[in-house]
Amino acid sequence: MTDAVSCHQLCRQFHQGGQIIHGLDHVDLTVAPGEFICLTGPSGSGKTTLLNAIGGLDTPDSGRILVGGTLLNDLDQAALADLRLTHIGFVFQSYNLIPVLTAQENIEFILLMQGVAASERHRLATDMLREVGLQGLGARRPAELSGGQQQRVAVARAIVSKPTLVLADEPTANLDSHTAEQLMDLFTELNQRHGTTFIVASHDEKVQHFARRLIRMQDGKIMEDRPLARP
Amino acid sequence: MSAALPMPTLIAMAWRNLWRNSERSWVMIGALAIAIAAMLFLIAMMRGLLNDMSQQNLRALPGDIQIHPHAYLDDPAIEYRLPWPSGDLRHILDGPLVARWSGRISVGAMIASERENRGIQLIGYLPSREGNSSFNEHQLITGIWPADHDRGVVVGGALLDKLDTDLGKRIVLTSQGADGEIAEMGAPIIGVFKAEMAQTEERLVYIPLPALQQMLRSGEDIQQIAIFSATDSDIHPLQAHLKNALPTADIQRWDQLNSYLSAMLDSMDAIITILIVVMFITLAFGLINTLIMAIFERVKEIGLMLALGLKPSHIALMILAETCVLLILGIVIGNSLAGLAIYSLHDGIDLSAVAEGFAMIGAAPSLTPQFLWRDVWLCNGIVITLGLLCSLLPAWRAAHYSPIEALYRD
Repeated sequence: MTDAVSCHQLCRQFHQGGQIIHGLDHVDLTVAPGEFICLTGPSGSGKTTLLNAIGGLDTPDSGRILVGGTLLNDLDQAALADLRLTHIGFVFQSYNLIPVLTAQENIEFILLMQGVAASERHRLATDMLREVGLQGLGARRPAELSGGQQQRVAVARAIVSKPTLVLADEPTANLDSHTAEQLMDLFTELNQRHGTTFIVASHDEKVQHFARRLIRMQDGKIMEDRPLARP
Repeated sequence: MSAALPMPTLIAMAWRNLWRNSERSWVMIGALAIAIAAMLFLIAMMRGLLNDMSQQNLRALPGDIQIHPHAYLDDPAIEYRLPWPSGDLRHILDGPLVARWSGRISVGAMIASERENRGIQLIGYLPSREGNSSFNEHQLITGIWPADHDRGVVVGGALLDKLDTDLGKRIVLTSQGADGEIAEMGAPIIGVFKAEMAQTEERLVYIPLPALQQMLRSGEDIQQIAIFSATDSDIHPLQAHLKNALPTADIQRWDQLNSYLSAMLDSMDAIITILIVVMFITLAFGLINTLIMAIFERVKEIGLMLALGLKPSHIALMILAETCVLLILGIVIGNSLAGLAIYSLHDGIDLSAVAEGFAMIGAAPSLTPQFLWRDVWLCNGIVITLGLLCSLLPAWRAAHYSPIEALYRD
């Protein structure tokens, strides 16, 4: 079976104040389809850099990345955009919703770009709003929602099109513990029901309870990679 | 695989984005609207002025085509004459391409009253052949227009004042006869006309053609055949037929006889295009600045859309849609303002205070703006085209953001 993600010798350096910072330092990683990975480590350890590289948002200085068997190094911006649209769902730390669209429209945005028919879009987005506990709030714009509600809209947007891979960067960082737990339950359900692969970068130890594999990073290197027993 | 964003979504997003900074958008829309309104109004005034000049010109020089003896136009003397039309020429003149025609004599002459004398242009014409759009259009203040075989003259009100004479009094006309000798005639003033231009009133004196032919001892000869074509599209073929029938004569259309006005009419569209482009260039800086600022404020959002899978070309399309909405709002408001201004002046602007200046360029002292849909399309088309061209730079910049840099920009 094709790996969901496969990284070989990924390197990414940043220049900051005359210093070279190793965002990724010869990272090798293989993720099988349907895995639920918790990516952890201190700030600056390379978690976000790795997620951005896997999502085709950032280009590594060297090394190879394959997502679902597709070599990202060979793709131009338009092809990368296509890959993200059809295979990858993103959840960012800082909500990142489109401010001029309502919650419902934000969720429908991905489906719209995929060319899904209007009635189907509406149905899927409404179902997803209900699943993340935001039924009745679809007409509100992001500015009219709380931080937790905005993050749930962002999650709904990431998973509404049933992507094969979800990359989540600190998805629970701005949520209260109850909402965070609900969100992780939703991730788990999707993972188990649809076989969606999840790579979740998080400091939050509670996230580890939902994951089945833990990867600990430091200074751009993978320091620990072990399976986790799900309760 | 990704579909382009549907047009309704693009427009809805463009509309909402526009009002995120409503003050800035209103300033830009206001500037566009005022510039477009001013431009359309100015164009309508220019069209009105040219139209008036052309009408005045046609009144002073009636006929779509005129035939003159060779060399007459360089030296309009009585020695250059044409026989009254016959044969092939007459056949064409009485044919389907011609609405009506008339023969005339137009010579320089002196007119003298008991107290004063003046140099004038004496026009001998056949009233029965001239129809409504010819000399008879001059408004008659008092008296009558002559019949073909009357012997009286019709003068302008201004000339009557200069000659210090009155209706019914006799004047003496003097010119050079066809035989080269002095030709004179006494005739009563039977009518006084009022023209829109003072110089027409002072300069032109009308007399029935037979009376003038008798005075000049020119037999049935004439100096000018004025022809009104059946339709505008007949003018060019008619001119060609006439040239075949009368190869030695000068056969010219009215626009050839007044090449200055004709050139102005011909170059009007080019002048309008240049004016609109110049106007828009001054606006372009503001438009580009507005768009760049709007994009600058949304870098993160653009990064997000790219991260979600929107292609760079779709981002560019979104910026272009935003420009379109901005331009269309400016155009709708600008066109409405221009329409109101032009409509409010549809009875004309009274410019009698500067009538002499207008007379010098051959225009009447009342200016009516002329509205043409062609000008509206031209103006709006140029604004839309240049506006979209201006937005290409901001759109290109937005489309070329790196998603990661845009997403994490402070």
